[in-house]
Amino acid sequence: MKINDIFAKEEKVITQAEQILKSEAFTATECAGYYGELLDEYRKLLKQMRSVVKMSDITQGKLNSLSMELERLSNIDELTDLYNRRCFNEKIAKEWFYASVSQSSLGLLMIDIDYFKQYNDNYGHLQGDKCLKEIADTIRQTVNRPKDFVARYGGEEFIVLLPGADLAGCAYIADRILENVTKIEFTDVNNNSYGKVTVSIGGNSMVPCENIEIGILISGADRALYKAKKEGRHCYRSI
Amino acid sequence: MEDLMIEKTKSTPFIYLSQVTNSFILKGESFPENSAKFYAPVLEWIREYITALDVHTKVIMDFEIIYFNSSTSKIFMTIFDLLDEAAMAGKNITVNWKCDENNETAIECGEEFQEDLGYLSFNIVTK
Repeated sequence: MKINDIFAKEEKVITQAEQILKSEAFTATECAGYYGELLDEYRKLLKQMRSVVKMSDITQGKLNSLSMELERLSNIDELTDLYNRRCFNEKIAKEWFYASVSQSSLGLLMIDIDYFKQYNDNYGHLQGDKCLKEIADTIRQTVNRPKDFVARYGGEEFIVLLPGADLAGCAYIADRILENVTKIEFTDVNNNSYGKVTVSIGGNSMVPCENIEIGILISGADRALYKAKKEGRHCYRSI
Repeated sequence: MEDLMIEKTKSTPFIYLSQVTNSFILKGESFPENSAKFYAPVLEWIREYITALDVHTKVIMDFEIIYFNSSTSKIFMTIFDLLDEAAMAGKNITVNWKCDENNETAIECGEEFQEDLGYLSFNIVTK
């Protein structure tokens, strides 16, 4: 709605007042003068009101876009551009609820970069950051169904939520991630190599029921990750 | 006539009105809980000042407001209206609406104030 439109009633009042003045309804010219002055004052105040509303809309628009940007920033991990753990906690609670209502599986993958401390020690923290970004991008590109959700869980740990995925589905996605991560070539602009990196993945899947809490799903994937690490790394394990 | 100085708070701007230097500074953010109450002494000071002001004195008024609420915008209009009437009477008043060149909201609002004025010299100064 245009600002002019929302003041249609006020405009009508002005038109009526102008008609009254023209109709010479005032017998005394003095009264017509006072009435005319009041009408001018009303016009001026209406003009001010239009400006106040317009400025208010401009400011509110700006505040709304800032608010949306803040919300985005509060959900995103700055380095990798993946969702952060705070956002993951909210998301898993929602998906757990949906899975519980529909009695469908909720799959979870916990991914950890192998020997990341050594990688940092060898190539420096800046290259370590690049490595995290590349792996985050690779996971995001590999996990691409609309409801799948990828987040950075901690330092070199990522977490993937796979609504509807049973253990076989988790294994399928995990294998693709393992394969795609090994294909990453870490190089700089001069084509100098910065080594190869692998990941270990732990998976778990559950159909929520009354006596099971979300924590069981997460700790199961965590235990499976530990198993993958223990059994040689660069592999997927489930419990 | 005494100078009027109001310290800046989280929701109100720094205000300094001086008859000695003929300068007016309003700087900060303005979203007081009660705009009418907060700006009452400011309006009173300006009314008294411009009534006594002669046509030879040059007055500069600097508004540097990052953010302001709707009731403040109405107060500002009342102030600019007073100044516009004084300018119509031949008084030499200039308002500088200062804002950051990246603050589009402040620039657009300055343009909106500018539109309503007939006599007052109103400059939008970006930096």
